Amino acid sequence: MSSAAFRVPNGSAAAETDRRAWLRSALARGAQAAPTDVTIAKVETFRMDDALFVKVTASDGSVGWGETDADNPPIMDAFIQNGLRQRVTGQSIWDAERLWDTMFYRQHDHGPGGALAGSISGIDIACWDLRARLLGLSVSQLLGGRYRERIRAYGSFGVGFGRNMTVEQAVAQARTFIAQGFTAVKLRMQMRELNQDSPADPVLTYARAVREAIGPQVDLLVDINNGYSAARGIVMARRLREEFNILFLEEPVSDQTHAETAAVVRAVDVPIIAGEKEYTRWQLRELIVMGQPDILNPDTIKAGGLTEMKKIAVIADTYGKPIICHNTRPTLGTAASLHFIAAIPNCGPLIEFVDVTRHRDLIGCMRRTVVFADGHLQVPTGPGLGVEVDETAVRRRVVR
Amino acid sequence: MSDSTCSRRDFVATTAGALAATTLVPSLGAQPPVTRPMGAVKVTAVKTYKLRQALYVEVQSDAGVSGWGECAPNNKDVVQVFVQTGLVQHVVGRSVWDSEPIWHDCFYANSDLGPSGPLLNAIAGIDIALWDLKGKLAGVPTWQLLGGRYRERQRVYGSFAVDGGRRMTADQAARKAASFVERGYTAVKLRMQIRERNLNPHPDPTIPYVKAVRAAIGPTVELLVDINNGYTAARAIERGRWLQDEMGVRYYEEPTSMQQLHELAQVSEALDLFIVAGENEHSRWQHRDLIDIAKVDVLNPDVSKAGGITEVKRIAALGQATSKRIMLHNTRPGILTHASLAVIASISNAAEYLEYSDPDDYQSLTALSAETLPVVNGELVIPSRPGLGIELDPAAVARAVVA
Ligand SMILES: [Mg+2]
Ligand SMILES: [Mg+2]
Repeated sequence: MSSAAFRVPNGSAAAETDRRAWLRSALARGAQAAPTDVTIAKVETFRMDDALFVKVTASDGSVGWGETDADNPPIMDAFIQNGLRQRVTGQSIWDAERLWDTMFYRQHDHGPGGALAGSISGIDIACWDLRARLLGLSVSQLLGGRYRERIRAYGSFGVGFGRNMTVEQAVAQARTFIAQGFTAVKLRMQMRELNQDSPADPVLTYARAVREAIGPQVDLLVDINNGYSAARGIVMARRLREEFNILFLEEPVSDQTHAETAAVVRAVDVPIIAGEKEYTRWQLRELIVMGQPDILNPDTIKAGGLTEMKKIAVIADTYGKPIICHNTRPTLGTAASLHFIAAIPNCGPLIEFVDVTRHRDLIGCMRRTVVFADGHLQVPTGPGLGVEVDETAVRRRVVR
Repeated sequence: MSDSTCSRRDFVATTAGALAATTLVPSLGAQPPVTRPMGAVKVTAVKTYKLRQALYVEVQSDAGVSGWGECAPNNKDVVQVFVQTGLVQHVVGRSVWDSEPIWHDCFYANSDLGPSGPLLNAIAGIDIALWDLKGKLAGVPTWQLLGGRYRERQRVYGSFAVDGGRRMTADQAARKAASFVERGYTAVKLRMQIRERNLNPHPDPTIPYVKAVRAAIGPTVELLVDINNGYTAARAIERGRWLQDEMGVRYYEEPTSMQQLHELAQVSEALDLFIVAGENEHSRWQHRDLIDIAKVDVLNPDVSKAGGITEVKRIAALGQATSKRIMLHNTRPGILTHASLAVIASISNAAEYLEYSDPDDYQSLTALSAETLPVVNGELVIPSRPGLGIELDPAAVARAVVA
C-alpha cells in the first residue's frame, strides 16, 4: 500500500468541501485499513516441566505469546485444550473483555479461581501481546499508559518449611540475591495450613540467619504461606518485626479465613500482604473488604491475566490498597506483570522476582527477555510484551 | 512482527501527517507527512471552546491529528479556567498513550480544590479527547482500545426536565414525552428537579406530572422518574411505592439528597424498584460509597462529569465486581453521546438504557458535526469509525465560541 495514495493537495489549496470529503474518506480508510476484523485463528499450548506457554495466532498471521500459572502445567494445558480454546477461536482479537467473560462464565462451574483463572490468564496475556503488536505499541501503552519505566524487585526463595533448604542454603541464596544486585529479599517459609502452628516452626531461625547474612540495609520480607492461626500470627508478626525488622509479613494465616487475616491486620503494626491465592475481581474485593490486608499481591498469570488484573487494580486503588505483584516465573509472566505494574497508579512499589540462575533452561527459550539491573526490573518497551519467544527452543523442551 | 503490520504502522503515521498537512494544524501546512512510530506521538496543545450549550476540548498532537472531548456544561467558565490553568501543563508534551498517568497527574496536582465537581469535569474533557485521539491515530474505534465490543447498538430513553414544575406544565411535560414516543423512543425519563432546597414539597408535583406523562405515553412505554434529590427517606419510600404500584415505574433516580448516602440506603432496602444514582458522584471512590453505603442498584455516572472515559471504565469495573449495572447519565448529543457509546460498547454491565436528551433542543451543537446519530426504533447505533466516530468541523466549532 503506497502512502502517497493518502497524500492530499496542500492545505491552502484545498477547498473546504474537498477537505471535508477527504477527511471523511481518510477516517473511513483508517477504519478499513485498521486490523479491526482480525480474529483468533489458533490457540496452541507448549507444556514444559516448569511452564506452560500459550501462543495465539490471529487470522492475519500475527502472533502473541502468554503464560499460565505454572503450579500444574498439565491441568492448565488440558483446560485450555478442552474448554477455553474452542470458546475464543474465531472471535475478534479486540474483544478482550468479552473473550474473558466467555471463557469464565462457560467454565466457572469448575470453580471460579485456581485452574480456570490461571488458564484464562495464559490466553488473555497472549491476546494482549498480539493486540499491542498489531498496533505497534507496547502492552502497557495499550493498557492506558506507563506510570513508570522500572520497578524495584525483591529476590524470592522458598525453604519448604525447612525441608527444601537448610538454614545454610537459605543464607547462601540470600547472599546470591545480594550479589545479583537485589536490595530486598523474601524468605518464603512454605509452612502451609498442613503445619498450622507447628511447635517445630523454624521461622525465627531462618529469619535470624538471613537477616544476619544480608545486613541491616537490605529489606527482608517474610512469607508464612498460611501456617498460623490468628493468635500465633499476631505473636509472630510482632517478633519478626521487632527482632528482624521485616518490611512486611505475607499470608500469616489461611487464605480460607479472611476474618483471621483481619484479626492479624488489626492487631499488629507490620504491614500484612495477601492476595496470591485470590483470583478475579470478586475474590480480591472480598479479601479487601473482609480481610483488610494492607497490601495485595495478586499474580498476573494466576488471577485472570491482564484484563482481570486491570480491574483488580481499580478495585484495590478504590479501597486504597497498593499492589505488589506475586511473580514467580522469569520470562513471559514477568514481562506481563511488568506491563501491568507500569500501567497502574497503586503499585507497591516493588515486585517479586526469582534467581534467574535457577531458570537457565527456561530463559534459554527466549530470544529477548526481561532485563534486571541495579536492583530493578525494567518495563520492556514494545512491541507487545517486548520479549521474544524462541519457538524452536520451546519445542525442544515440550513435554508430551 | 509481520510485514503487513509494519506497513500498516507507516500508513497510520503517514495518514496522520497528511491530516496535519492540510487540515487541523494549518501552521504545519507545508511540511511533509510525519513518519514515526505511532507510540511516540505527543500532545502539543490543549484548546478549550466555550460554546452556548457545551464546553469542548481539543487535544492536538505532533502527528497533526486532534482528539475532541467535552466537559460537563454546568459552569463552563470555571471548568474552562480549570483546564487552562490547572491541567494543561500536565498534558502538553506527554505521550498520547499515557492517558492514565495524565489523569493521575491532573487529579493529584489539583485535588486540594475538591476531589469532585469542576476538577473531574475538567479532567473529563481532556480524557475524552485523548481517547478520541488514540483511536484516530490507531485507525480504530475507541471502544476497540477499551477492551472491545459487547454490543452494536444501545437503547436510549428520551430525557426531559420540568424544574419542579416551573419550566413546563404537566400538560407540556406530557406532550414532550409523547413527542419522544412519536419519534420511536421506547422509554422516557421525567426529571422532576425538585432538589434539596425544596425538600418534600407539598403538594408534591411528582404526582400530577407522572400521571400526565403516563397517560400520554400509555402503559407499555418505559417511564423512568428522577426526583433530583428532593425527598427525605420516608417520603421517598412512600412515593416510590406509589410509582411502582400505581404508575408502573421501575427506575427511581436520586430520590434523596446526594449528601445523605444512608438515607438512600434506607430507600434501597425498603423498595423493590431499581434505585439509580451517580450523576453527582464523579470518582471511583464516590461510586464505591454509592455501592457500599447507599446500596444503589444502578450506577449513573456521566462521562463528561466523572473524569472521562478512563474513570467511568473504572467505575464500571467496580460495578462488575459488585453486580451493579451502569446506566450512563448523558445530557448532550455530539461528543458526549459518542464518548458514552464508546464506554457502553466496551463494558459487560451496561444497563438497558442510555440517557439521551432531545437533539432538537441542542441544535447549536448538532450543527457542528456532519451528522447527528439517529435514534432508530429507540436505539442508537454505536459508531465504528476511528476514535469516537464523530466528525466535527473545527472551523464551525471555532466560530461557535461564545464569550
Ligand atoms: Mg506468597
Ligand atoms: Mg438525574
